[in-house]
This record gives sequence, C-alpha cells and structure tokens, in this order.
Amino acid sequence: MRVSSIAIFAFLAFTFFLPGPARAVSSIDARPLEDLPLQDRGRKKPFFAFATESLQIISGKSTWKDPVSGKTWNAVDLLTSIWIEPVGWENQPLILVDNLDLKKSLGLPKDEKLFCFRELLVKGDLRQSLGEIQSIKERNPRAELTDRQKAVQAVGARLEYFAALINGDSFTIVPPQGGKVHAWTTLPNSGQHYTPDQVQALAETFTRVESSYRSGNSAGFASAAGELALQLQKLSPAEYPNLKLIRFEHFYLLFHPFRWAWIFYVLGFVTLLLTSSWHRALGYKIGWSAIVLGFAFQIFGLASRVIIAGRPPVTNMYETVIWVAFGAIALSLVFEAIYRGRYFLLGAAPVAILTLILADTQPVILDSSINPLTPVLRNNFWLTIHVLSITSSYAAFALALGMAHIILIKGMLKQSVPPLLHQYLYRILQIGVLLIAAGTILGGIWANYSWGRFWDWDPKETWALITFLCYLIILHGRIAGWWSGFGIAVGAVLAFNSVLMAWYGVNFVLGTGLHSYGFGTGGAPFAFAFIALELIFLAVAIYLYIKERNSDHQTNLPA
Amino acid sequence: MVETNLKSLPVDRSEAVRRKLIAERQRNSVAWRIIHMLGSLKLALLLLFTIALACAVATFTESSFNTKVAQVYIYRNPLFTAWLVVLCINLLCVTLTRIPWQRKHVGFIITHYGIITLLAGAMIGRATGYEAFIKLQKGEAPKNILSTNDPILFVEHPRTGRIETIPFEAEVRRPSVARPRNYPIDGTDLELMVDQFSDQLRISSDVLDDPVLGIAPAISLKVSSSSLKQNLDVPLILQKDGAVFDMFGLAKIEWLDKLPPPLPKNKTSQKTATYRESQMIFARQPDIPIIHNTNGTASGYRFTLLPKEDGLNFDLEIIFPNSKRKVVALREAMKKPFPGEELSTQIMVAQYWPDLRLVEGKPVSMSDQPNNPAVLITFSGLLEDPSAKTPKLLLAPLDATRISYQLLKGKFLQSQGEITQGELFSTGWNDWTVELKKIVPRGRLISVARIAEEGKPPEGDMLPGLRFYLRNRAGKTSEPKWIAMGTSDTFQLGEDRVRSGYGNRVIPLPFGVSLLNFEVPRDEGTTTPANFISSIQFHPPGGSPPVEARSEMNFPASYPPALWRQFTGSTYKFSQAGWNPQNLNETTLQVLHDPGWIFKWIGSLMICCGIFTMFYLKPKKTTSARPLAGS
Repeated sequence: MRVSSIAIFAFLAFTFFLPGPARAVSSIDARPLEDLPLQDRGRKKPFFAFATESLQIISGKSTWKDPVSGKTWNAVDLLTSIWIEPVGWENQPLILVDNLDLKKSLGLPKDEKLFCFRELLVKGDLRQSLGEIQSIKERNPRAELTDRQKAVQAVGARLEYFAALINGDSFTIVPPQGGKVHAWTTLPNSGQHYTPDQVQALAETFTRVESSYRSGNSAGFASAAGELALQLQKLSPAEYPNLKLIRFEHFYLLFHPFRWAWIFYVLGFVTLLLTSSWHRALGYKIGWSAIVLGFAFQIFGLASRVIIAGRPPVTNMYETVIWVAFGAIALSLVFEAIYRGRYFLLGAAPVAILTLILADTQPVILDSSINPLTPVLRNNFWLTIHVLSITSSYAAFALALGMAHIILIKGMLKQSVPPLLHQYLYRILQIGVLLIAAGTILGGIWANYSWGRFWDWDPKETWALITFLCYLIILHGRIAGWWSGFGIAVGAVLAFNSVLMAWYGVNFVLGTGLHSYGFGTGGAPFAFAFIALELIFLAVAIYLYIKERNSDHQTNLPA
Repeated sequence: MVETNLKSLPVDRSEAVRRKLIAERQRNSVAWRIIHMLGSLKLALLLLFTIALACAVATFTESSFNTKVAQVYIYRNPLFTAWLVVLCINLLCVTLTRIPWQRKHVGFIITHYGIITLLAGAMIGRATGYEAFIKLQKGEAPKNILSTNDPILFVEHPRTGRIETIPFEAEVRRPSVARPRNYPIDGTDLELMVDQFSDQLRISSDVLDDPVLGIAPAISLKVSSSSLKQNLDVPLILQKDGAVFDMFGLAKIEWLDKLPPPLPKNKTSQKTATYRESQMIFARQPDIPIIHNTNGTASGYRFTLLPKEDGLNFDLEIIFPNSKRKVVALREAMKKPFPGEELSTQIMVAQYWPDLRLVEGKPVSMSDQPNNPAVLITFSGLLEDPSAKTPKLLLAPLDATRISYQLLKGKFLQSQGEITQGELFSTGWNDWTVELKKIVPRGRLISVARIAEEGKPPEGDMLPGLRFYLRNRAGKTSEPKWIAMGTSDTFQLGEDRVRSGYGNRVIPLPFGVSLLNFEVPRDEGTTTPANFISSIQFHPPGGSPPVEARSEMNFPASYPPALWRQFTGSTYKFSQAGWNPQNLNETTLQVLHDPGWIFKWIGSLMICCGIFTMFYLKPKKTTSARPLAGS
C-alpha cells in the first residue's frame, strides 16, 4: 500500500504540477498509439478499439466536438489527451444524459445531450439516487428498477467509467508476469509486478511520450510510443497478445466492412431496379456483381469478428442484425443461382441495406463492441447451431418480406405478377419455417442438455413459437384453399411482425426472461414507425386488390 | 391477376380413386365423419391462431406482472393444457383422414406425430418430473432434500396424524374474506379455512406461561433503539447454564438464576494505546486517499471532499468505521477538532489547498481557484482492547414481577438496578433500551405471526403468509391465526387439534449431495464471472462410496450416471443455477428430473425431419399438374 500510494501521489502530483491552461489542447496526431495493446473489460484490444469504445460508452458518439473551439476530436486523440493531460476534461461536456425525465428532474437543459462530469457529480439528487440503487441491488441483485432508476443507473455507469479514465485506472497497458495473475495494470501500478529498474525504464519512456505530446513533437511522440510498446512486450512476452491480431482488429475497425457492404448493395439494387427493361442483361450483370462484392465485404466483416472474438458472430443485437442482412443476401444469391431470376436480389437488397444502415448508425441501441460472453453462452457448438438457425430463419423471413413487397408493389402498379414469383416466395417461406422449427427446438435441446428444463415459456422461446405458428397459419391456409399468391404475400408481410417481436420486441420492449444478454433500450419509435408504415402499405395494397377483383368480376374477365 | 385455386386443378387417376374412397366412408360412417371434423384444417387453423394469441398475451402478462402470474393464469392453466390436448387430437385425426397412407404422406405423418410425441413428453415430464433447487455449502454434511418454489399448504389430520399437502399459489390466486378457500378434513366435521393473504407478516417470539409444559422462569424483553429504528423481541427461559442472547456480536444479554456479586466500577484512569493517522484527500480522486498511520492498520475512517453547488466551497463527508456518514462544511471543519465515532477520537482538518501542486517536493496551493482541491486530515484515537469490548447485560429474577440487572463492560460494572414488569431502562449502548414485557414462573417459547403495524418501523424481515381458522359444520369457528411462510401452528376446535402450515414444497432425493469446492474464474482483468464450477459428491444410500462429479455452465452433472438412465429420464441432472458473490463457499444447483425427456427429443427430431421431408423429399409425380404444391 505504501509503495503504490507514493507512486499514485507522484503520478498525480506530476500530472497536476505541470503548468498548463485549464483546458487541454494538443496538436499531436495520436495515431502512433493506436496499436498499443491494452486489457479492457475482459479482453486485450488495441488502443484504437479502447478509445472508440470508451468514447462511445460515455458520450454515445464516435467523435466529439468541442463546443468552444469547434474542433472535432476523434476518439484516439481525445483518449490520449485524457490520458496524458487529464486536467480540465472533467469540465468538458462528454457524458451523455438522454432521458428527458431525468434531465428535467436534475434541472438540465432538455435540448442538450452531453454534460460535464463535474456538473453531474455536483447534483445531490443524482448521487442520492445512485446510492439508493446500489443498496437495492445489494439486497436483491435481481430487483426490478423503475425507468427513472434505470436512466440514473446508466448515467452512473458513464460517470464511473469517466472517473476511471480521468484518474488513469483504465489505461491498463502493463501485462502481468503470468502465472496465476492475469490482470493487467496501469503504469503507476507496474511496481506490483516488476523491479524498480524496470518500472523506472517504463516511466522514463512514458515521460518522453508525454513531453513530446505536450510540446507538439510528432516525431518524438511516435518514436517514444513505439519504444513504449516494445518495452511493454519485452516485460512479459507470454502474456502479451499477438500483435498481428491487435493490428488486425485495428484494421477491421478502420475498414468498416459493413459500411462498404451496404454501399455496394445500394449500388446493386439501384442498378437492378433501373435496368428492368433497359439494358436488362448488362444491368443484371452489374447489379449482381455489385451485390456479390458487398457480400464479400460482409463475409470479411463477419470473419473478422469471429477471428477477433473467437466465437460465432451472433451474441448481441448488433451481431444478429448483421447476420440477418448476411443471411438474406446469402439466401437470395443461392436462389438466384438456382432459379435465375433477379427478384431475389431485388427482394433481399432493401432488407440488407435497411438493417446494415441501422447497425451502422445506431451505436447506442446496437452496440458493435466485441465483449466476452456471459458464461451460459460460452459453448460454441450450441451457440452456433441454435442461434445461427434462429437468426437465419429471421433472414429468410426478411427475404420473404422483401419478395412479398415486390409482389404487392407490382400488383399496386397494375403490373402482372409472374406466377414464378409466388413460387419463389413460397420456397423462401418453407426455408424460414424449417429453420425456425429447428432453431426453436435446438434452443430447447441446448437448455435441456446444459441445465435441465426443455421448455419454460420464456418470452423469447414463446415468441419463436408464435412466429412459427404464424407462418404455419400462412402455409396451412394455402392448403385449405383460403388464400394463395396475393394472400400469401400479405401474410408474409403481416407475419414478419411476429419476427420483429421475437427478435427485437422481447429484448427491448418486454425486457423480461432469461434471454437477458440482449436487453437494451431505444429504437422503439423506429420499430413502431416501421410497423405502422407496413400496415398502411398493406391496407392500400389490399384495397387496390379488392377494387381490381371487383372490377374484374364486373367486366366478366376470367378470375 | 390470374390465380390458381388448388381445388380446381386436375388430378391423376389413382388419386381420384383414393379421394372417392375417403369421401364415401365419410358419408357412410359417423365415426369417420367425427374424425374428419376433429382433423379438419379449419380446426387446425383455429388452434394455431388461438394458441399463438394466448402465448402472445401471456408474454405481455409476464412482462407487466411477473413470471409466476403468467405461469399460473395461462401456461399452467388447465384450459390451456386442455386446448393443447385438442391440438393433439386434431393432429392425430388429420393423419387418420389420409388413410390409406401413401409415400407422399411420410413427411406429413412424421411431423404431426412428432408434435404429439413432444407434447406427450411434456405432459409426462410435468406429471412425474420436477425442477427443484439445492443450496450447498462447502464442507457441510450431504443433503438430500431439494427445495422448490411451489408453495403448498399442509394439514395434519387431528386423529390419524397423516399429513396432506395441497398446492396453493397464494400470491397469485389470493383468498379473501369474501372468497375463502376451504379444505374439508375427512373423517371429521371440520374444514380448514384460508381467508386472507398478506406479505407483511412479522414473526415475534414470546414466552407463554404454561404450568403444564413450561419449564422454568422466563422473561420476554423488548430491546430497542430509536436511532437505528430497531426493535428486538428477546424471550429467555432459564436454563442450567443460563440463557444467552447475542446481539449481533456487539453485546450479550444473559438470564441467570441469580446475579454474581457486583464487580468494581469503571476506573477512569486506564492505560490504553492511542494511534495517530493522517489522510490526504483529493477532490479529483475521491477513491485514492493517501493514508499514513502509526499502528499499521487503518482506522476505518474515510473522507470525501464534495463540491458544493457553487463549485467554490466544499463539504467534508466523513464515513465512520461503522458505516455511518456525516457531512460538515469544510469551512466549519477547519475551525477546530471535532469528535469521531467515540469521544476519544479527535478529527482535525490540518490544512486545505484549493489548487494543490508539488513545488520542490512540498505541497503548495498555486491559487485560490479550486482547480485541484485537497485536504490533509489528522486524527488520533484510542486503540480499543478487543477483549474488553463486548458489553454484557446480566438479568436474574427477584420475585414474581421483578428482575434485577447488572450492566458490565469488560471487567467493570457500569450500572445495576431492578425493574418491574412493564418498565424499561437504558443500557448505555448508544441509545438501546430494554423493556421487561413479561415475566412468568414457568414459561415456554412460542412464535406468533402478525401483520406488521402500519407506520411503525419494520422489525426484521417481513414474510408472506396466510390466515387460517377451523370451522365445523355447525358454523362454529376457531380463533384465526396467521401462519407465515415456512412455519406451522395448531388450531383447536372442540376436541380436535389440527396442525397446519404453509411453505414451499420440498422433495426428497434418493441420495445425498455435498459440495467439495466451488470456483468462479473471472474474465481477465475483471471481476465478471467467466464460469461457475461446482465440484460435488453424490452419496448413494446404503453406504457405497461417494461418487465425484463436476457441474459447470453448459456441462451439468448427472446422477446416477448410467447411459440408459439418461435415455429413460430416470436420472437427476444438477446444473449451476446461482451463487452468492459474498460467499464463495456456497452454490445453488438446479436439479432436474424429467422422465419425459426421451419423448421430447424423439418428438423434436421427428418434427424437424418431417418438415424437411415434406418440403424437400416429396416423390416427384410426373403426371402432377400442381406446380405450387411444393412437390
């Protein structure tokens, strides 16, 4: 305790000692630090990932705009500044508070989203609420919190995270010696594992990093940063991660493969749409190639996530959304290869584009960071077959949704619908039904194998069953002769609501049950808007269809 | 838009013959007509729709209320089960309507019978299986009782002594005075009535004067502290070695035959050790004070500098070793020393730097602006002699209504006196007082459950419970009593005494289980659990050597382990269900016993294979003119 308290005191005094304006300004590009590995929240990652995730966690954004100077900081520069010159950052508006009721009760302006650490910490109400929540959780870890309490808890978590950044505790760049301890430490605490000489050497290098940073010496900064990385690696090569993997993760994060994917999907979709009657063959080639290229980006993205995380890429909402886009396009390409019609791609592309854009632009709702799994999910075999089946069935139903739209839109535009289109839709529904039956059953089998009960009417299970039943209704109604063609298209659109409920609603609207690892908030307005638009679309389509049918009968055309 | 209607397409010859056969038997036989009706597609669609709807409603119910409500009202509702039986009948009949079966029906039959098999497995599991829990402590003797979350009533027959258990979901289906539940006790004219539920029962212990069953002089004390809002009922019955009540390890109350001769009073001049401690507190780093003290162990005091709303002034928050908190304005605190937890501890704010910097190794304030506020706090206190710590209160009877007492601290007498029944005195331990509620010559212990009074502070844990009374055919009733969950009590009406209780069902295991070790490896660098591993032992009856096993996430332990037992579901599966982060010697395992297991697996396999067959393995018919039939 005494050694480290001196070290802390020294570090604190050191950082506060240097004269400097109250607000940190640096002209250095912190890129040389981006590949520095550190251990954060259960895994080793490049500083770039840590910086991006940290800024995301505290502010909900990937960049930060200084309200006074107007300068936009990227995550790495910001976190480097917080690390090397923490003074003053507690007065910058970096902490996200987005709950309107909470803002009102704390007297914060409702139009602002970002607030300073200092100004939030001063709020006695907030501190008191946080204390209350802590004692509730201590008594009963599974207690239900009110909406306001959940909002307070979220803000409290951000404040805690920020405090750890400001006092340097988060910058765990020093690997342990190995053996029983696997926790990395910060530079000031490296005395726990290493000799005073080693600690001294590290401190000297870091001093050089800091001074070149402060004096704006880019070259010095880059070389000192590189040296620091080498020194750290030499300390404990066994515990240090494979630098290739670290650099690969850095590359993956910069590359944004899923963004490229939807860009190419848009290209392909627009091309196919515009060339339905003009340069049809050429347009098909271009459109198909664009979509295949986008698909390649998507495969790369998924493969990267698997490599970085060491597990199948379907463990939180973000990943299931990406997978559904992948599955829809994959299925459509397969069908396209078998049946050679452009409708599959036209049906899949909008779905994939929509989901990928959602994933790209809603980081607060769909968290793209890679984190270790909760213990119950740590079984790659079951995880793969159960979750992939279910999400692939969502993908199939999403593709069916796309195809159904084509059928209905063609009907609304009074174009003739080739009968093959109905058959394609039916084929896709079959795949979806098979996958969801298998996936739901595999969920029960996994549960039964791993802990006991086969089926417990958990909301997620139940909604998977409901989805299965809804699509069964469509298929059975067809056999009964109650509907076909148009009716099935309408059914495919209607039944997708049960998919939405099973996929998103259970986690975000119901918020109960065992599938708690996907819980989140937000996005409900999007979902409701989407459903409302679809229902309006259906109403119009049905109205026009009935009108057409009646006029057909009146003019005695064959039905 | 041209659409195809399935029914109007031409079919081939053999199919036509088959259709004719089916239509004919439907016409001629009532039984076949019924079968066709029960197996109709219309009924199937109705079933699909209503089951989907019921499930959807149930999930919203679960979200708005809780899982138990949804389970009791919907999923475990007999109507729901009956409806699933209708589904099975529909599935069975629809396969019958296709007799004589042809090759194209294979997938169809497998799928539909698979569903029936799966549901049958579920029913078997629900009837003969169970899901229960067992909480194990490391090093404890083997346990063979499982606990569940299924509440039951139990009633002991007044004459035969037989115990009957009745499932009773009191929380969800509440009884009320207007609609009580009644349980006739056969062989008598009595029935047990349950007419109220409360989740605010409090159990208090008392002594009852019982000349028959009472043993020795007994007292009932009420020990309270108004500042801590605590009230304790302390019943004490005289025993050979004295009766002792331990107050949270902080003090002891003893009920003796007679008091020992009084010890000398507390001397003021005592040599006790003192210590000094200094703490450096930074406003910016509230979690990293720098502490130096003279005796090597921390005093347990913590301080925090809190900025006031204006940002310029500060409050000093003191957290005492006993977790009490106190906030003083820094300005006030700097004027003079103030006392800590005990008078002997003096706290002083030695210095305050609004803008701390180290200049030539010395702390200096660079300005008056609170850019880096820090304070140096020094305090000194007395080191307590731990052996003298526990105060004692000794009590002994004087006569029928009075007792005498002595208050001791370590080896010294603090005070002594006598009190009468109904009076109280102060102990000198903070603000705890002791009231002599009752003194009886021959007492025995009883527990009474009552609803906690409104407005009064909660006294201990509140439990859920039910109100019971006995009633006979003539309408005469016994005294109603509250029975809290996990307890029982006796009711008397006329000559009959009926013991009744309310608690969670327990299930006996045919073998014992004990915990050897429990580990929770964490994710690197965090405290988040990565896995839960319980090393357990199964103790078969009859003295055979215990069998070791391991239960961790996704890899449960089964006992008996033989493969055939797994297949017939006659094994018990122990999986990791819960843990206590504060006590890593404790683990909670879920125990599953499911004789219906094999049917669920076979049924599931049949469903998946059947669907696949129906969609993709239908034999190609060369003369078929139905492109949409999924052939």
